[in-house]
Amino acid sequence: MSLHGGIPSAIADDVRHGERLEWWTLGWMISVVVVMWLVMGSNQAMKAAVIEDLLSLVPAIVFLLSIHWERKHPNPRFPFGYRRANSLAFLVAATALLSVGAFLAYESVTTLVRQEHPTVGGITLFGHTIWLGWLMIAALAYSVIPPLILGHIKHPVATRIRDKVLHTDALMQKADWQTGLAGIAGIIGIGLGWWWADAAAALFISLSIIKDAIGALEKAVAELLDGTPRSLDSNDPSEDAERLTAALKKRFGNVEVRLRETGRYIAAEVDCASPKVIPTAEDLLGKKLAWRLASLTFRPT
Amino acid sequence: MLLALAGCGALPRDASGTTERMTRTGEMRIAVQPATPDAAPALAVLGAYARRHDARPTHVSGHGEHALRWLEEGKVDAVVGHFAKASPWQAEVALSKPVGRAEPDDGKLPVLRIARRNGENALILATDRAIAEAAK
Repeated sequence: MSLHGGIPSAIADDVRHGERLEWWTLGWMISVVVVMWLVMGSNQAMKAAVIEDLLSLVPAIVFLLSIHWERKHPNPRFPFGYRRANSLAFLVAATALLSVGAFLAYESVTTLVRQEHPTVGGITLFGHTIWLGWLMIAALAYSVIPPLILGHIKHPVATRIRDKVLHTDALMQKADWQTGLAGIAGIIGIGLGWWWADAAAALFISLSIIKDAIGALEKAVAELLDGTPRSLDSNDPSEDAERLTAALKKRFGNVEVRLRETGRYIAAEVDCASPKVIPTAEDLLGKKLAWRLASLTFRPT
Repeated sequence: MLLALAGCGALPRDASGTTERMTRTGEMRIAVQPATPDAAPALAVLGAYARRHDARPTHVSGHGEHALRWLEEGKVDAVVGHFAKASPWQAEVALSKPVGRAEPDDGKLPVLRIARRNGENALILATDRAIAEAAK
């Protein structure tokens, strides 16, 4: 690791774990897309589910890309390195999540307003014609399992490496399995003759996805505007940032401290003359979190 | 479990209750497009479904898009005629697989099909099944 480049050894293993999880995500989710596409036929409702599954691959892809860039070292053209690739990836992932929610909401509202009655007919397999709805339910049930497990495993890793892209991807996985369950309820509803069931279930889920996505977007924008570091699951300042501010104030008195975040790393600026003994990251944040402090600047007033 | 449920045939039902209405009024309203000389196998499929639900098929004469519009509005229960797989109506109504022949390679070639009202899934599944059986 060098200044502004590379991944600190304290989190290297977890980052690699995150990468492996994202490759697994790509593999499993592509298998889900293929299964859904095979079952979908010409069905409109399933078409929406496939588009949504394709969009849900975006956070995993941008996570892998951003880690690739984060490992690169600074050069004369990029003297501060590429660590902010993670912030950019976060914005893209949050936008993808919002697109999934908005797309789902649009599809369901138009179905409800136009009172479109979804047709789910028969499919002939091995000489038997069965209701396509049963096959759709089986495909949707399959589509629920990988995101349920992967999202569950990702969440603690994202917390340890303070990775908002991975965290957003865990939210995307939540969106995936919830829409899968809503889809199953919707197909059963269609079977019972309730044409509105599928759209109503999807609309309900889309609202919670949009809420998650807006929360993520707010944080992504704050990060790109050099806002004070936010915590992973709310728009409040992160605990690490509060701890760092407190440590700096304790050492240098009641001076102005400004923190901003570049990807997963914090840069601090303190309004006071450079002290004779500069505290190390470990002094300020403790051994476990020392990696988070990327730079400390003193600015004499 | 899913297969067991599928076997019992309780699902799906019609969203607008076409099948129940047929039983109640005793008639299934079928529009046959003019100049459909080969309509007989499609009418046989629909006639069998009507009889199974204590109804008899009655024919409504309707020209071209009028018949399809009535189908969308629920004024007729099925339309028999020649439609292409890539018909502009394919999302507005539920077109069946070709009746009495294989799907042509050319998606724009009109062949004998039954158009059903969207969402009337009991009727749609039953006619899909009958067409597949007849093809064997």
